[in-house]
Amino acid sequence: MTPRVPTFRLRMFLVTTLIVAAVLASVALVSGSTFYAYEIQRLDARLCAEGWRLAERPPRADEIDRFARDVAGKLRLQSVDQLLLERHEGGAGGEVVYGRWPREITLDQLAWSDAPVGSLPPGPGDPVATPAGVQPGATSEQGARRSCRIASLDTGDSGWRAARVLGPDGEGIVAANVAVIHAELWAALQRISLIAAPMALVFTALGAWLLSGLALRPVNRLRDAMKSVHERALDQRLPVGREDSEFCELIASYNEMLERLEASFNQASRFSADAAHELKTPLTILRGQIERAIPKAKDPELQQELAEVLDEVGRLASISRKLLLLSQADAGKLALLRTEADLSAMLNERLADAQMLELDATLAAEVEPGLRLQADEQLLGQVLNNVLGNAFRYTPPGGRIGVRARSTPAGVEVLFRNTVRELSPVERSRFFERFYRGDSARNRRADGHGLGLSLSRVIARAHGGDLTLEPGSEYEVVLKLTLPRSPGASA
Amino acid sequence: MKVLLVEDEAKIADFVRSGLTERGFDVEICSDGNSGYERAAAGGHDVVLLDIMLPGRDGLSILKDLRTAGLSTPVILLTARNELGDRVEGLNLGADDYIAKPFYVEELSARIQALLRRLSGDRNSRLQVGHLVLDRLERQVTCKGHAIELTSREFNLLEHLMRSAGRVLTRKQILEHVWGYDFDPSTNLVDVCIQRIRRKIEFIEPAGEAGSPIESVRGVGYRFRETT
Repeated sequence: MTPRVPTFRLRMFLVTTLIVAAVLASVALVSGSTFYAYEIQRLDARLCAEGWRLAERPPRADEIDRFARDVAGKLRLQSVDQLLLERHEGGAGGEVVYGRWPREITLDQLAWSDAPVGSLPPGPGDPVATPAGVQPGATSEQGARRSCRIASLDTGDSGWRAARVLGPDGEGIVAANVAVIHAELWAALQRISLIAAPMALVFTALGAWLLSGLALRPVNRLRDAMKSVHERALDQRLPVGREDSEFCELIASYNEMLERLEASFNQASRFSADAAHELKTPLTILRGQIERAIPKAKDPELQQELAEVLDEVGRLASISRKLLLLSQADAGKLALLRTEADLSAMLNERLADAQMLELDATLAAEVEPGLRLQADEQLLGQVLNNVLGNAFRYTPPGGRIGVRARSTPAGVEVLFRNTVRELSPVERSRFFERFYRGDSARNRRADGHGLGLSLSRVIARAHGGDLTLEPGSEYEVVLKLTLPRSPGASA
Repeated sequence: MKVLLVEDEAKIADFVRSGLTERGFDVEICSDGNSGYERAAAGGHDVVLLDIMLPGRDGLSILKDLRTAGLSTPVILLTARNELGDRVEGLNLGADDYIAKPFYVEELSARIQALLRRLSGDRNSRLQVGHLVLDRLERQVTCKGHAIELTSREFNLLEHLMRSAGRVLTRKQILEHVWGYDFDPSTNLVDVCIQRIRRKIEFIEPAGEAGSPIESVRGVGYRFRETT
């Protein structure tokens, strides 16, 4: 199980949703607290007004209940239980106490603060109604400012807001339970968090999902285009098309990168092609002249030496030929001469060679007859020579060589397996590497260069097939050659 | 047999000429594309050997113009740079065969002879050296009238040796001709195969004092004995 890789789209979706959720929450928080402050302010204003009324015109004892209900109504309280009233004797009018004042609280302990200016309604008859007999300074000051002070009191289980108004005749104190405001706030928050917020979130999430998909569309198009380039050759370029300018730049950069890559690749490829070609003329001359010299040499020893030199020249020729073919294949220019090839016959011919060699190995061949395909017979022969040649050479005495060729829906598949002394994981991973030889002491390729397998694979791929090293034990090499029946089909 | 060789590399032209002359061909040499085209177009050759990279004009364009002009002289391309591509294009343009550089003159000579035999309609498919008679069409070998059973490889090897009778062939030369490219040159396939052919021949005609018609040349290779 591999961990699921988060996609860019999923991430965009989650991040956007989270951000919007956070924004919604902070908006709810800010608006909630603003709303609360505003409600408290309104309550304070009303408390002051009612406090004034209580100070100015105290109800008679039998009117207290009615008065309290009236005050509760004006303060928009749900019941009179949420109201406390108290009036202290100043001048005229009596003492009033209504509601259950918490005993432990004395009014003077509370932190009273002046109510904001403007929160007090104009007092009836004020300041004209200021009675005489009171100190003029104090009277005029009290009357002019109609002092109302506000305090919060906490009784433990609920919060109260109290207003203390000092009138000319006495002091009126009105307190209201703020539970009603809390309840309103809570209801509003619930409406927001249960209906508005989820809906906003759903819309945002949907939008984020769709938008990120939309944003990724050019990227996906680009990816598909890059894939198709990769499968073909380096000389392909991505079409700029009608993409947005950001993507146009990306495509241009990618195309530039391809161009540089192609240039350096072509240079390397051309270099080995040129080198191989430049070698061919002197090799042709060498070979021709030695060939001519051998029969002329009367001394058998000289003849033998010349023959050895001729074989070495042949080896050089073989290397340069392979290098040239490899560089052409790398440049995607391996020109195939396809004819109808009988793979079964080609395999059987080489298996007969193995029998003729009387190798010290058991040979198990299972070649389906009549395996025909459109292929370059010369190059295909080279592949078989190489792969089988390796098997003949590297199978230790008493080992096994197996060849199984069969047709598949797309073409043919040939499995070559042979036992080897030991193939380390390093050797296995570098199996198709050019000029790589395994442990040189043990595995020395007789023709001295490890190009054959690499070339074989390149030839198989040029045919639309492949040559792969199959997983197996370290004492066995299993090579799988797949070839399509015709150029169109893929193996 | 008149051969026109269009090749700009003087040393190559030189050994090809001497090698082919030795094998009974009459070789004419042109060292650039334009004169090569003129000489070939003038006709009178049995086969044209055309190098592809030439000063003046390249071999493929010469070939194309020769065929457009209706000249049917067989052409063998000598390719170096892009062996496979030139092979495909050359054969499409009407070349009869191609041979990749570096080549053995022995191989070139064998190809010319094979091409000429093919074009002459195989009137004479029989090849006789000494008591051995090899029929290419029937793929049969007889010795003193007795048939010898040979595998396909053995047959091809014997034919190659008989066609080059009198000349030494190295193991690698034989391997490349009979088995193709990339066959492990360290195997003793050639020796094993020759031993088998020898035994089959000796079964009918025991090797006398002269020994087997297939001679070993120590350290070099093998030679089919020419009859004197």
